[in-house]
Amino acid sequence: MQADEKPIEAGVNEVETKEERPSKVGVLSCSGESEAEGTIARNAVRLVIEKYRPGMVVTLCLPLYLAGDGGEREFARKVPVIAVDGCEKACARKATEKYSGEVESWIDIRDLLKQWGVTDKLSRSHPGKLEDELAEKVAQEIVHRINTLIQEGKVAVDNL
Amino acid sequence: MADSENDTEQTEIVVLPCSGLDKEAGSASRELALLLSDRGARIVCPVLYERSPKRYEKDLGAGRLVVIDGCKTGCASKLAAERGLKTARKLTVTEAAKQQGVEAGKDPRLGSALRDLLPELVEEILATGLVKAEGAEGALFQETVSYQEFGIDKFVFRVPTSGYFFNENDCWARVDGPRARVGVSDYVQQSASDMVFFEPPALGAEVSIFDEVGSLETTKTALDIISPVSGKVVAINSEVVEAPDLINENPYERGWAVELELTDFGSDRELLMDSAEYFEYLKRKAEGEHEALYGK
Amino acid sequence: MSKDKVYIIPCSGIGKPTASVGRNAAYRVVDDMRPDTCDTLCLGLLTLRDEEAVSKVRDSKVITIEGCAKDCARKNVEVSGKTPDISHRVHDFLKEHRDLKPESVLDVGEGGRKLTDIIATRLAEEADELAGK
Repeated sequence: MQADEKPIEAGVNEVETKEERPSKVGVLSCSGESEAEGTIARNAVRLVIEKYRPGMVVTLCLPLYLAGDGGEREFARKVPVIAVDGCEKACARKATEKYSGEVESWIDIRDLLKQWGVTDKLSRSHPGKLEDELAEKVAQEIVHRINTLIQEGKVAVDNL
Repeated sequence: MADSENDTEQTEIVVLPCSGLDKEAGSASRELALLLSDRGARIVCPVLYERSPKRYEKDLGAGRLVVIDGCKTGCASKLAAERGLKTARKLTVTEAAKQQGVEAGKDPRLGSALRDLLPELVEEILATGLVKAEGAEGALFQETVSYQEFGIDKFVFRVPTSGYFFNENDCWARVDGPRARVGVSDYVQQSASDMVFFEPPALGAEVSIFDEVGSLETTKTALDIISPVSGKVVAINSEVVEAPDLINENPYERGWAVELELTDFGSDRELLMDSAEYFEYLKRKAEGEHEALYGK
Repeated sequence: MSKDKVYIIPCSGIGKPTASVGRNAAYRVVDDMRPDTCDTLCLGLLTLRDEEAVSKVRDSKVITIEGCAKDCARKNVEVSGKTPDISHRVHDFLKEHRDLKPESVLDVGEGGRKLTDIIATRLAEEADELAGK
């Protein structure tokens, strides 16, 4: 399945949990205020939620693991989680592992940028064309990981 | 994910009084049913039910049954038994009155002695937990809400399975005893997007069914909350005033907007959809809108 | 030295346009208006109880700016052992400027940008006061 295929249309149906598998995927970005890669991570996750896999992805504000009412800690127990981190501190992955559970897949943005040969200095507060393009590429990578989870049977999706 | 409705979660009551026209106790039975109706109960007319049982099929399935007999003849109880109805509470007026030292008379007109006992009997029925009442033991609106859902395209819409009543403006009233909380449905909060402002009505304002009882503004639009019930505004959810996005987060419970002291729920109820009716209505509406936008 | 900086810490809200406004306002201050006296840090590091990040907030003046009533920034700062010197919610600014509603998370729109500037100006002034200027 290609990462840029159209999102799966659910149609009108009664929402049911198929067997024990969840029907959604959790994608959690780091908060990434300090670093440009953090901004890219967050924007990529928003693109997946709004454009590429609407209705299939749930997310969470990372600090809610501490600031929330406790229900957030069920996150990784209820859905398979893809953590997307902007730097080696890996807050999204580590916080999920600490407060909630194992992550199914992890994306290190800096690693991806190295693979893609990106050496330009990036802006955290004034993202331009390059930052937007990188966010799109990261979003595609997230979608690829989601598709892998579906193929592995870790997510139940109608009309697959 | 559908949650199945079960008796223990039903807060509605359905009243089957006797139709005793020739005794004071029969009049008291009817009057007691009317007082319970003011507190949100549905009434089943025993004569109509005898002639046309289908008429009340839905009502009888919607809540827990309270049977009120005027006297030991037990006409209402016998009718319930014949129809195989599960009775949650039975009360015989003459017996209840005797316990208070009051004797029901032969004159069919309701006298003051028996009339004065009725509010106490209402409270006794309420206190048995059939309908939540405000009091020292617990507050209103505390029962756990269960939901049913349906999906269309990327959206999933939730509707509570019981205890809520809806108008066609997609506003709900959660009735608990003499009061109701009012808010907007999950469908509204998803369609209208992020709530940014809530303008509440004045405390003490008298509201009729279908009056505006507060307004909301989102990042996309502005809308009024159309009250499904008549009453007096007795509380405003200050949490929602402070953080209107609570409505997006939790539209049916923490996202309530206004609380009303009900004045005529018995009549209002006739104009509203219960949870099951609203669920079907919303499905049709959402399907229709989806079809209009995207075709079949 | 972290002690000299005033930390402007926005929430990490990824689901609300108001959170985007708060984050952008923090960036306006620390990157454009007061780069010498202000800084920000990743709230996630406080969630992880990262020692360096915790030490920074404890030793510095802190202003938090929230995108919603969950107050994640303030709460995570408090768990780190510091009460923010000043706490704001974007919604409070929005109440005073109802015509400047932000449009969406990824693009707050013209109104959202103006609101960002208003908030940033206030944050910068407050940071100046906290820094003793």
